[in-house]
Amino acid sequence: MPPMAQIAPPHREAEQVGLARNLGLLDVTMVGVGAMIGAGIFVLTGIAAGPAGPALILAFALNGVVTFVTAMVYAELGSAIPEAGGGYLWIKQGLPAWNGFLAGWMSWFAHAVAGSLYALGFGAYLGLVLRGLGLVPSWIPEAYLAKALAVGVALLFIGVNFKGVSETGKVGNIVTLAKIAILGVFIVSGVAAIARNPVYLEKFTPFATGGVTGVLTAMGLTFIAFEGYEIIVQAGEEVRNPKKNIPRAIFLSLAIVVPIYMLVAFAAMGAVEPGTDQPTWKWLAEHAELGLAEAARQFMPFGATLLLLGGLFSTMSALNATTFSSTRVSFAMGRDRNLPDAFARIHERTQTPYLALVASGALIIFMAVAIPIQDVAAAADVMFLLLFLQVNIAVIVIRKRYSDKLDYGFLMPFHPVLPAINIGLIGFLALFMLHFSVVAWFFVIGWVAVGLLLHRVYAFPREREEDLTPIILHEQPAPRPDRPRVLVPIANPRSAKTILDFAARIARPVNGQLVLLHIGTVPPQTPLTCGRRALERIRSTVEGAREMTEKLELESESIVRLAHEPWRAIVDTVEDHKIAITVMGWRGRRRAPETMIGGNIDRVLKYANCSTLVIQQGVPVPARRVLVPVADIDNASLLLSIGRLLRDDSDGQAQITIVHVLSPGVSVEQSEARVAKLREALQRPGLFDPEDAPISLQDERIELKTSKAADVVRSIADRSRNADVLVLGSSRANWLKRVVVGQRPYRIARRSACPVVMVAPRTPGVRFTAQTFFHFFREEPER
Amino acid sequence: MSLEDLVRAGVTLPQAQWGKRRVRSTVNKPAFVAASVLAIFSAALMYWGDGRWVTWLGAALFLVSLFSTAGLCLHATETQDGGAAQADAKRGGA
Repeated sequence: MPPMAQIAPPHREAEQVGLARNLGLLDVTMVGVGAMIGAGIFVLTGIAAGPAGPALILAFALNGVVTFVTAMVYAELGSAIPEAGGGYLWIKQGLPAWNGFLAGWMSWFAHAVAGSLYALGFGAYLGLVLRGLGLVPSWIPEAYLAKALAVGVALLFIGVNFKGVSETGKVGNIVTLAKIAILGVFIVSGVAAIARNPVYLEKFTPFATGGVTGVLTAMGLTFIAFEGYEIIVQAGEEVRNPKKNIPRAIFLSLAIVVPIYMLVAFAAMGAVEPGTDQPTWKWLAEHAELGLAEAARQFMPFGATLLLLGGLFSTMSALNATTFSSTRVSFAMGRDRNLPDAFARIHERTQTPYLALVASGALIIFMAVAIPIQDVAAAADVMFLLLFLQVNIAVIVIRKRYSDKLDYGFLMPFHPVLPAINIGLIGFLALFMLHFSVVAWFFVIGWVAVGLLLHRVYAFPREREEDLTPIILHEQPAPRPDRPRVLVPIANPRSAKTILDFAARIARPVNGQLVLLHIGTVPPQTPLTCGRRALERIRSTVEGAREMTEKLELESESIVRLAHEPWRAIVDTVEDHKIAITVMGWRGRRRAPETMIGGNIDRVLKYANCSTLVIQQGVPVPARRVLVPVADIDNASLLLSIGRLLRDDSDGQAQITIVHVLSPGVSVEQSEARVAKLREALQRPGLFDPEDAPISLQDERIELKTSKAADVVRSIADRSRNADVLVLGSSRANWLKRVVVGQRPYRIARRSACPVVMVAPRTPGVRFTAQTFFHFFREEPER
Repeated sequence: MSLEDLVRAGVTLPQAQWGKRRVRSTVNKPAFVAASVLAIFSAALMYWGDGRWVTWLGAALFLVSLFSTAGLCLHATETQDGGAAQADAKRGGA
């Protein structure tokens, strides 16, 4: 086998190793929106109403301004340097080493304390529910109950993150949409209530009851509700087209979230009737973290329930996210030897950074227990403000040093004036919080002082010089158009031989190339770039597959890809390597009823931009009796091509049987017309035949049989008793047919007496689900 | 991290292109200034409106400035490479 083409420094891995890019623009925007609309708005609106009064709306707007400038900084740096560490790494690049350490140290604290805030918020919301249900004795003080529940939920999510479970993907999007929906109903209900009673607008006068001081205090308190978009950058390694999509997602997130916050404040302030002479903002402040829930009780249908549910889900989701992010930061610091190596240790079984997780969890619980929620909020806000201040400094330095060497997807205007102004604003806001909470600044200063000491005596002497990132992506030469590439994802070494044999039969006639894909699955809590253990687990599979392909005497290459979801790695490889056909194995059992053949295969069939063959375990390669049911005449040639590749041509005795089943109501004339059309389609040159070489059914021992049957499934299943393999194809079907006949193709595969090969042709611009994949059994062809 | 680290991470331009591009934001600067001024002006209206109609006018203008600024930045992401390429062409190319 010729050596693989490699362009790599000598100390890199021998295989090509790459990362799977999961997230498109919508996905990553939802990540940002979901991270921003966390528990902050639910928990802090009531608390911040006290200092600002109705001018809370203005405080949110001004926070939007400050945040937007920092967001432009993140957009600029995130488009050029989309690293998992985000702000932490940029500060390391732009500022002196001790700053880099301090940024990580502060970021760890900031995310952990934010987690404390969300845990306390959860505790308050759940406490309200339990009291309402009479499950908690009234003599237990609210604050103690909230803290106890906060500790409980923090421990729960430490466990969740330890197991490697994550609220990502579909579940995360559902939670984000639910939060937005609940806030949307809150806003609409509140605005409607105000519209019905225009006199409610008088509640907004006086507007800035706390003056400028009150507005600034509310800005400082609620600043944490505006952070979260930086997670977009932290997910950069998994974003498609990161240069463009990272900055776009950041701006879109802010354009969505800031108006929502302003409207929430408007509705909360204007639609509530306190029932006493006190102004609404005082009433909200008295209810503190439960202010929004109490407000919703008044004017929103099922308001209390929905807001409580929204608050519970938001706080849980935000706590999960902050546990995750604080763990990742401390893990990165351990990996970089800024913290003890134990922080970089990954658990053998769960593949999660468990010691970093325990340390982060301990910090979360300590802060939740030690100080009141207002001070926790203030501490988190101050820390985030100081972090963002450093990032604003870093962008100035990085632009000065590297701007002509980096490829930017976005550049902020009026540089360095704009970041300089923002540094002033952020610094002022952070200092101003001293006015609100001395305790918060006590913890902040204490944490920073400990960090500086730690750096001096421990981290600085240990800092490594070399890059510890174990995985890099090897660039590949572009494939030659005349060499079709056949992709074979290898997961199970036992079934690999069958799949490889078949893939080789596809590749050989056309002088094609095999591309073996090995996927190391990494839990969501662990950055993909740190999936070394996942690589080690699949090393024997990689070597075994390489030995098998050597015997096939075909040119091949191996790709090792790390992914949180295997199907993404396959789809990305199809795209990156211009794959013509993907050949996958299938055990033949479905895990969940809602998937036809398995979550990963379903998604590959849906999203991969190539023809896909799925081979059931047990398919003999080659086979002597191949059965090919054809319903969609357009696919007949492709199915026959696959059948011919499967057939054993060693002794000229193997047979291919094409079956076309018609409904009993079809007339003789229609039947003859269809058969003629089918025969013509079958005689067209196959997938791998020269264009001027039509197929002779007789010469090739291809038998065409037609029949009429009311029960198509049974008819095909009966015939499969006399076959060694069944080749099934896909076709387009409208949604109604999919709903009505959705299960029929699967029933055929399940009832088949022989193993099955499924064939999904490449149809650009059309997405197939596994259901449409199987929808080829219809009486009349679809147009 | 050093320049070598950035190179190894694969985030830099090819070395032959270093120093040959003029780094310039493609955000429409006059429009950006106008949107920023509108944001500050609208915030002032909100404050001094004291909860009356001027406050709500200010809030509406603020949202206009927010969406405008976001739109300008989004548009800039479309043209950032093109801007650099034009600068290259003017200076004799990379």
